[in-house]
This record gives sequence, C-alpha cells and structure tokens, in this order.
Amino acid sequence: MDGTILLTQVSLYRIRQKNDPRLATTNTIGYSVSLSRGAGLCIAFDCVLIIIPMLRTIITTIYHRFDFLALDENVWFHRQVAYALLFFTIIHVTGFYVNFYRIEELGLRNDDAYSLLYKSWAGITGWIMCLCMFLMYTTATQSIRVMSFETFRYTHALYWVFFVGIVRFGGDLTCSVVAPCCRMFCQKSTD
Amino acid sequence: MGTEIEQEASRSQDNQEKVVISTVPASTATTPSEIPRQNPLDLPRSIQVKAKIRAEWTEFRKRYLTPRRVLFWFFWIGIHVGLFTYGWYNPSHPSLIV
Repeated sequence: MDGTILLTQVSLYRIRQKNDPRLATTNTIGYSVSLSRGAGLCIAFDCVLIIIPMLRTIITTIYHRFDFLALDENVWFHRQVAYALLFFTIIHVTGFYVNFYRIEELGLRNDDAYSLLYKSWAGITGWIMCLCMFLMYTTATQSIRVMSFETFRYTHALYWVFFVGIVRFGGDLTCSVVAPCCRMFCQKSTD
Repeated sequence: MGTEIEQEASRSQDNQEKVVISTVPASTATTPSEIPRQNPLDLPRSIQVKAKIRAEWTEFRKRYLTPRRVLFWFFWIGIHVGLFTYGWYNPSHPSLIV
C-alpha cells in the first residue's frame, strides 16, 4: 500500500516536473538540485530544533509533564541534532557546488560559478555560517572542553551569527528561529 | 606428581625463568585472593582481541541500544528521510535554485 502511494507520488512528481515551464531550468541542471533541496529542508528542520534543548527554563518547566521525551538527555539530543545538521550541510553544499558548476557550464545565467558561490548574498551568508559551524564543532570536542571550557563556551556564542545568517539565508525560517533565539538570549543574559 | 600449578612452576624453573607463582594448590584455594591469576597480557592475541571486541560491544549496547534510544533513532532517521524525500520531490520553489 505504502509502496503504491510512493510510486504514485513519484510518478506525479515526474509528470509535474517535466511539464511545469518554471522548472525547465531545474530539469536541465539535473539531480543535484533535488539533492540540495532535500538536504536544505532537513537543515531547516534541524536549525529550528537545535536550540530548543538548550532552553533550560522551558526544559525545567515541562520536564515533569513530558517525561517520555527524555528531557534529562537534552545535551545528548542537542548533539544528535548537530550531527544531523553537519551531515545535511555537507550534502547541501556539495549539491550547490554541482548546481553552480552546471549553471556555468550550461550558460543558464550570466554569472559564473565563482560569483554565485562567493559573491552572491546567499553564498556569503552560507560560508559565514559554515565558518561558524566549523569553529563551534571543533571547539565542542571533549578534549577542548576539558582543556579550556571558556574556549568552548565563548566560541559557542557564535550561534548568534549563525542564526542571523539563517534568517538572511532562508527567509522562511525567520518565525521559527527568532523566538527560541530571543528566549536563549534572555536566558544567557540572566546567567 | 602434584597439582598443575606446581608442574607449571617446575617447568618455569627448568627454563630458568624468574617467575613468582603462588604455592597454594588450586584444590585448597578457598578465597578469590588465593587463586593465582594469569596476567591478561600473557593471553594469546586472539583471546585478547575477542575480549576487547566483546567489551566494546557490551559498552555500545548498554549506551546506545537501550529501547528508548532505539525508538528515538527510529523516529529521528524516519523524520529526516521523510523530509529529505519531500524536499527532493517538491518542485514548488524554483526560485530557490539559483
């Protein structure tokens, strides 16, 4: 049954994908578009989710009501979200490299791949977010935390830059991300 | 004659190896402290590797394969696969491509 539904959906998608004139560019580029888009959706989901386990006051409030959610393992959950975010970021970036290379190769836009990757607004914010991620991930390892907890703590404050980048990068996420970020800011300001 | 331990001790002396071995016969050893223990590093390599793998698997099972975590992984991976598939097959935002 599920297989039938899936096959129907895939068939409908293929028909729509082929016949929609707006998607002619997409069809020309190939599967890397779908790859980057699928990974992008997962990134959006993880970005909304990653900050919620760190909202200490909310966790404390709902801890006894939702004990099946394992809220005592919030840091572990935060790490799992971070791993998923890293995984899909790699797929997303790789997909866009292929996209831009194909765009330049096929001459679909006047810009070359370099301009699209490093000079467009989405490209710049994307790389800034990647840099923030790199710094946060590398300083969050066990060895760094043991050696210098301050390094880990202050580097993790880059989450602000990261989330500003997300809001600018994908405008759809603004509502989902701003509220937890504001709550986190209030929490940090009272520490 | 004698116990196996005594025979082992005599063999070691024949090879002029300086070993320290308990003189308490195994049959009369009553407490764990009296039972002579073999150094784990003296065990064959294959047994050491098997013991290490078994210990690591037990550790992994106790840490990551608890019912709650398995359930979590089931939903977590399911949600991501579902989202990825939806994003893959969702052609409604062509403006996002470039």
